Amino acid sequence: MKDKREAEIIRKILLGDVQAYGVLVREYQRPVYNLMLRMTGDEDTAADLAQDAFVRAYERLASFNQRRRFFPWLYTLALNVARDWGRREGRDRHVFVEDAAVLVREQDRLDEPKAVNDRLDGAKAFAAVMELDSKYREALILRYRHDFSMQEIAETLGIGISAAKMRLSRGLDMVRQQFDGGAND
Amino acid sequence: MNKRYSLRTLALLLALCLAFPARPAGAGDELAFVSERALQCGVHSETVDRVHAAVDSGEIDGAHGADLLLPLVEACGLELPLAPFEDKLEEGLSKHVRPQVIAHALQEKVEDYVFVRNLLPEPREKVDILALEALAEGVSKGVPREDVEAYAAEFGGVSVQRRIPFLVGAEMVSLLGQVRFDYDLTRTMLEAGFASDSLTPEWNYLIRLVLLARERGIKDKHVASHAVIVLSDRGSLGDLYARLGITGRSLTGGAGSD
Amino acid sequence: MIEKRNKTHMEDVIINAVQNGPEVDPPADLTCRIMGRLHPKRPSLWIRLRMWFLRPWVVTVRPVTAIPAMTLAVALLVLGFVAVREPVEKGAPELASVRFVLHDAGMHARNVSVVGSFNHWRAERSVMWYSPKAKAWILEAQLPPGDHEYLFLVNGTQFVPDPNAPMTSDDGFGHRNSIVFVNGTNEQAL
Repeated sequence: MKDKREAEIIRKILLGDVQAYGVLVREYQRPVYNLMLRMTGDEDTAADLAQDAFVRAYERLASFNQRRRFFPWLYTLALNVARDWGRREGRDRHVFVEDAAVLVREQDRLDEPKAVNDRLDGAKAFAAVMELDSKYREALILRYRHDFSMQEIAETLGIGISAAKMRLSRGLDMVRQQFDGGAND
Repeated sequence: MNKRYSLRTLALLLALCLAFPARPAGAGDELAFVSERALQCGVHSETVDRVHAAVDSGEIDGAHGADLLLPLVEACGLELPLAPFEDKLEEGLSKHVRPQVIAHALQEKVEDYVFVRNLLPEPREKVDILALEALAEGVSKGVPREDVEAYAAEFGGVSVQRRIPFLVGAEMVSLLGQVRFDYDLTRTMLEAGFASDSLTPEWNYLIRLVLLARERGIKDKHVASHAVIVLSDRGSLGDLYARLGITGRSLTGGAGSD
Repeated sequence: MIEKRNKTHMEDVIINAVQNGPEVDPPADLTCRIMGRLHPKRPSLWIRLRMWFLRPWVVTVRPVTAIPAMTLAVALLVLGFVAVREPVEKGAPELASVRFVLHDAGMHARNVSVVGSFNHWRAERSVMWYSPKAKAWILEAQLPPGDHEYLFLVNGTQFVPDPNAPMTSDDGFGHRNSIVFVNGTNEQAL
């Protein structure tokens, strides 16, 4: 959706035209629903969370900075809805320092390399990406499916640009390494 | 742009346009505009100054600076207490957290406060600010929303005389919830405390006892069942310490008022 | 050389897979359910003013503003803008003495401060002193009763939790703060 047209739609919504929001919902419901599906693994929960994300975005629209693109902002919000759900379900992913001598740093968890000498094809690559830790998976999806700029990826994931670049390269590495042994394409 | 402004609105807009010197629209404008709004609403000037200092030093850009103040303006508009938001903003700046992350935390906090306030049965102007803060901060720090909802539903709407017990209960729910003390156990203690009207302010420090008990391998449900007995008898926190056989000194000997 | 080409090729396959991978259709009534939950906004004057002042821009990606490392220089810059806040209002609750301790047997740190909610997270107000006898950095502070979040700031750059704090809590930024409980009445050693 063209940015200018989107900005106009948002102004209309803020000035009282609720139906105009339907345009944005129809435009972005697919990626948001798919995000929730990846994060929850359940269709009904995904539908509920997708609803919540869009409703929350509508309620927060006044604080949306219209210099930015709408979709990354919506996506960030949706990611947080998913994370809230994850936390509530006990899947708390907070990393914090136990050791007083060390400044808090993100800990990377390398996925267990699969002992597989597969040939790499699109379907297997896709499956492997879907099984990555969400922090790598989402970065790859934001970049290559949704064409987010590095800045947008960084903002959506709440990290710096170099951290975002690192997540992309590590994500690719991790998938590639699963198929490395002997693959000759 | 909506062309249906009333004459009155246009006059007001004109007055405001004249009040602000004409400048080309830019990031600086947005920050100045939001800052003005924040100050008018009652945000401390020191907080706004800190944001400006971070922008002036190049640590964050103007648009981000505005994003940091917007949630405070929003909180203000919603008539929420400002101090927790100012504190969180200053904490983020001191820790050099990325402005997007600070802004996000502040937005979440607004939502948490609104969520809690909607649970409390009192009309907005009668809400006990301290209880709101206790519960909302708890939610911000991971207390499950259902537990706070349950507390407000089961024990909320108390008369003015029972403000203190409600506040003590709120602190209990908030602090115990943060250390994942089961709310079902907390509920038993609250029921006993409210029934006997024994939730005096010293019970705010039940959390310390719970943590000490855990250090000594005493199970949460054991603590709860003894607490229920003590509260039903209108006993003191000291009585509970005695029943469980633990002293007030922590094994780790950390910061504290001893 | 072949390895590199293989690597690039594999990456292309992966990127392609992400680009074109299957997506699931959302339920047909999702839009309806969402729209059903919404109410038209009644724009406040504030919103209408914003719409007036903030014209829609063509979005450009802003160049990254490098966030400087947590250097002492930056901390000093912030110090330069510190304004003294209004003193505590009359009738404020009685303050209690709290002792913060950070053990450092080899005196590895050059300076340590306590930052927390009680001092607006500003280091200059709560600088700790090193006690060679205790082999620790110490600060005695007066705090109102209640629970307070804090961290140690080491060498102006590292935020370090208190290993001896009874409790920590989520700071909302992805890290944790230490908590100290300050009892208004004198603590009884039971």
